[in-house]
Amino acid sequence: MNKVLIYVEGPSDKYAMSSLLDPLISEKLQAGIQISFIEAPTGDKKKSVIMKVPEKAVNILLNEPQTIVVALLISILKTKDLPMKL
Amino acid sequence: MYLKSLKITGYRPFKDFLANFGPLEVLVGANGSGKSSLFEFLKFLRDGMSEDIPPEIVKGAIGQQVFHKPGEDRFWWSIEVDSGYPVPVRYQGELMGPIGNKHVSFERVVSAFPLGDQYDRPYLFMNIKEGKGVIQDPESKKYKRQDIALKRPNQLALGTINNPAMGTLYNLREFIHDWKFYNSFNLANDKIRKSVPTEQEPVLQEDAGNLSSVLHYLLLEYPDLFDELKQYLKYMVPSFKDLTVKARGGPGEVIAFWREEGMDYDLSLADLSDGILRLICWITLCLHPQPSALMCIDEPDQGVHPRTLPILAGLFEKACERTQILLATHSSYFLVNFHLSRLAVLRKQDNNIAFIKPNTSRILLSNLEDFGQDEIELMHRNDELEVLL
Repeated sequence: MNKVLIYVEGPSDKYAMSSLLDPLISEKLQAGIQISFIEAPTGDKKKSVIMKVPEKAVNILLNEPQTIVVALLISILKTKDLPMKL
Repeated sequence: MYLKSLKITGYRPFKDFLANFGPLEVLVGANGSGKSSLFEFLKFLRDGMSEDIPPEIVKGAIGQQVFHKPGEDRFWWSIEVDSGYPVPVRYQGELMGPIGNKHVSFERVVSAFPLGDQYDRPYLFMNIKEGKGVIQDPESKKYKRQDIALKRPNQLALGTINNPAMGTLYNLREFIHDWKFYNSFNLANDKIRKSVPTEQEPVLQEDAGNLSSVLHYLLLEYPDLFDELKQYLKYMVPSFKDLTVKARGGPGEVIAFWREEGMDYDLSLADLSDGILRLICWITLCLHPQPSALMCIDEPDQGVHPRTLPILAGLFEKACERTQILLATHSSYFLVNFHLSRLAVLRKQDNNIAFIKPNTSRILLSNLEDFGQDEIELMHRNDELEVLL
């Protein structure tokens, strides 16, 4: 079975995306494509997606070249992250 | 003897299931992935060695769907047992429904391959169809071959073999009959907390109701093991000071007593928490001098402090040198305390259950190499373990 693995930041993203795309996930499963959302490991979730997932993707793609790995990051700029106050 | 493999077709979630077992298997998987059903099926075989198959087929499963759906009302099994002889044996059978009119359609015990170069096919120790057939043993002089006819359709023929001269069949029946099933949630704490009669060479009952009797047996006849048990309790419970067993209650009855740091009087098992009682049960099981041939333990990590889990895992590792153990757990921290080769993932897919050994996954091995062995704990917690395998 072909797989699409989508790493997201946390459980709420995982369950929200799985629910939102449920019809598509079911349809693709019937066609032999398994779409799975995986929450990033504990700790700093954004950092985890950015730092760990690429390495994991290499391990996956080296062994299962037909698999697609996605790192999905929701980036919201907070004012404290900006160099100057707006 | 030990259970090498199990094939089931048509039972509960198992459409077509195959599992290979080592001396210790730690089963993990989502709720509903078949861990309890696997134990339940093994228990069905065990119970069939000493009693008739009950009206509901699986004891206590009244109103439950026993057969795999969609599918016919029948299930089939084949277990392969390393009998200690050069050739393993397979015990196969089929139960036909419906529940109200069930019967065992066939049972067979057959060598996994021919017994020697002079034979061209596997040896049939037992071949029963619709309650009638033959049993035979190549090494038995008096009972080389015997016709048998079962009295009831809900009997397992292997369960009726109580003639030791039928060496292989008798030993196989004894082996299966000796299997034990424990569940953290089914321990009878109310029974454990009462005095119980002493027994001769007791084995821990499945509800652990005779715990004090087993402890008494160890204290009197295996003092070194009893000391070892106390040592483990010291590792696990910081306040533990001493354990002993005293005659209390009716004639011939005993109950265990516990002493804690800072207390100058003994507490009986009646005073201890459920968690401590569980720990004593698991340690007792692991150290018992005559362990059961196969122990299936559902969620031994429940209700015990995480600090104790590495010690508990070490105990099971040690015990599996003397017997075979199947554990089921949902605890990510517990499973990380076992060698990767001990883990088995049960995963539901395509209306079936797959039994997957993570140590065969190159993706997983690469991840553990990159991020450390503890990564498996995180991967179990976020479902990545099941998705990647």
